[in-house]
Amino acid sequence: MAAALSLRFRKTYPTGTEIDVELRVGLDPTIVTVLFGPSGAGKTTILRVLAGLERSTNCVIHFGGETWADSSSGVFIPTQRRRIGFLFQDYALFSHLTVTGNILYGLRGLSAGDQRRRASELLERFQLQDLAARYPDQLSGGQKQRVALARTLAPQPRLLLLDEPLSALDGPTREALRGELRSLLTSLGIPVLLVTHDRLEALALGDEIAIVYEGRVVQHASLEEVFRRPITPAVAKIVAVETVQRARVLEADEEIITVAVGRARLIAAARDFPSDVKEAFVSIRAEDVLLLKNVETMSASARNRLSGIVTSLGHEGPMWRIELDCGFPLTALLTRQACEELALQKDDRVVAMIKAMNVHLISRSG
Amino acid sequence: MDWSAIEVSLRLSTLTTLLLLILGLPLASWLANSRWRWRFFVEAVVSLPIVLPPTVLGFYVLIAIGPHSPIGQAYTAVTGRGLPFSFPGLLIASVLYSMPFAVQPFTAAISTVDRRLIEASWCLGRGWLGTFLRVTLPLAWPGILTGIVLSFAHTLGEFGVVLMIGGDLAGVTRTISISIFDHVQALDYGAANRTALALLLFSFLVLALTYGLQRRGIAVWPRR
Repeated sequence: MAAALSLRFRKTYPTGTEIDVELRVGLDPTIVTVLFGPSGAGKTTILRVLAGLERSTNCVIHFGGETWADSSSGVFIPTQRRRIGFLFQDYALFSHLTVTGNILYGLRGLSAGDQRRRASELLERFQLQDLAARYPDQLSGGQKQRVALARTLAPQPRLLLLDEPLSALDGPTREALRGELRSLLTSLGIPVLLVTHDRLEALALGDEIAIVYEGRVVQHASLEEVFRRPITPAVAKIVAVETVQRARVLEADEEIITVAVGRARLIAAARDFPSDVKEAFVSIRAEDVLLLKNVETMSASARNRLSGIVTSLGHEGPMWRIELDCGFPLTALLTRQACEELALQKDDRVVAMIKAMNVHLISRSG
Repeated sequence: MDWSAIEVSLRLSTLTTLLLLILGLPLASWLANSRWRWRFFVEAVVSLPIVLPPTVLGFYVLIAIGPHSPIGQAYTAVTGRGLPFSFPGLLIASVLYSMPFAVQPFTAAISTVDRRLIEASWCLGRGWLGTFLRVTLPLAWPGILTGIVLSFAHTLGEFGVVLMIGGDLAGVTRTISISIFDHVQALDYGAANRTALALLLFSFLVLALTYGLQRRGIAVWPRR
């Protein structure tokens, strides 16, 4: 069995909120695991318990062969000795120290020369050389994030925990940094656990996703799996998007981008998609998929027309959920009336139509 | 001007402030972070000298360090001398009397330090003491400076407790305020005025300087 991080704990707050978590993450340095769910679901608490910043009853944490916590035998390794990196939501930079001072803070047990070398290496890597002597209150949001990352990575942690790493940034900066962060996280060579409540962030940064809802991990699998097969209605509601697939950019111009998804091709509105990125996730909401049986009735030309086969049908409240194979798995949501009009059956051939503006592309650099 | 009284006062104030730093910072740090349900009890005890008449505090300290108390007996056994009406006895009383003027600003200052910064320091491998010295102390420094100045100035001006514990021994326990009292008793208003004015000016200058620095947000702590 490969080395893994396993965590189990229970915590009850005076307000009555109960968190009861069981999570197991492979310690694969190429994989970013996203803890995703609505605010207040308990995602941050999971990170804090992992870091040893919060204690709880019935807590058992194993990191590879080490035991970090075990309430039954009274083992509790303090934060300092877990050698983890924790990136706080608001970055928590030391306001009385310069950028260099912040980076040097965690470097102990190294000679002065080695400390200086490591610090300048990180300053260079995060393009902070010109800001080295500045104080945190003289930095922009994006710069603060880079300093915080450099400081967190300086002591070479064995596990990186990020709490909403982009939420403290303004909109445009956040979008610009999303792609950069992904390539950074996959290049670190250490396992990463990341908390977010933002779906785009989860899709842009994660490989595996653990859905946290009302204090529990309700589903934990690959991104595509969770989005395609949410195991409960609650998860379906949280992910909100039925179809999420990897896509490769074939052609891009100012207005539209053509991508290959499975055996099919899709046209998406370009929006702000970075022109140099080739890898992407495509996300399509089921209610944006229009189904037709009679191909002659098609009119608009700017739409994606995909011929496919119905693989399954099922109720979802007042709606019908239709799973299709269009060269990639696609989900459509129809009213009962529409479904009856089409007289859909399993294995029927249909045409799925999706407006280019409803095909959302999320860049995946790195 | 009674120079020996000034010397005693300055020595007493300096040593009291120093002891309050050593005792007060850990106590304030505990008060700022503790979630113990009886914490308010400790806070009340620390703050008592603010409301108690100095004579009440002085009286109980006198009993507590007197020749019949365990503390007094232990001190006599070690040094061969008694605590009441001595400088060390006066120092103990001063520390207790000025305690709230140090511990309250210390606690307030330490509480304002963002908890996340402390946690960030732990995550970067620093222990409790390292974090306190490198994060808490520098960030809480303005409030800690206020506590230092207030306890110094308060000790400088104390009268009742000195009279109860120290008596009026020239060069040993006769502080400026006692000296002024003596001058007035002897109807030597000129001498009383000279000493009183010196004390007034000194206290005003120290406070003005402190609050001035605070207001301008000057990092009294060296920025590295």
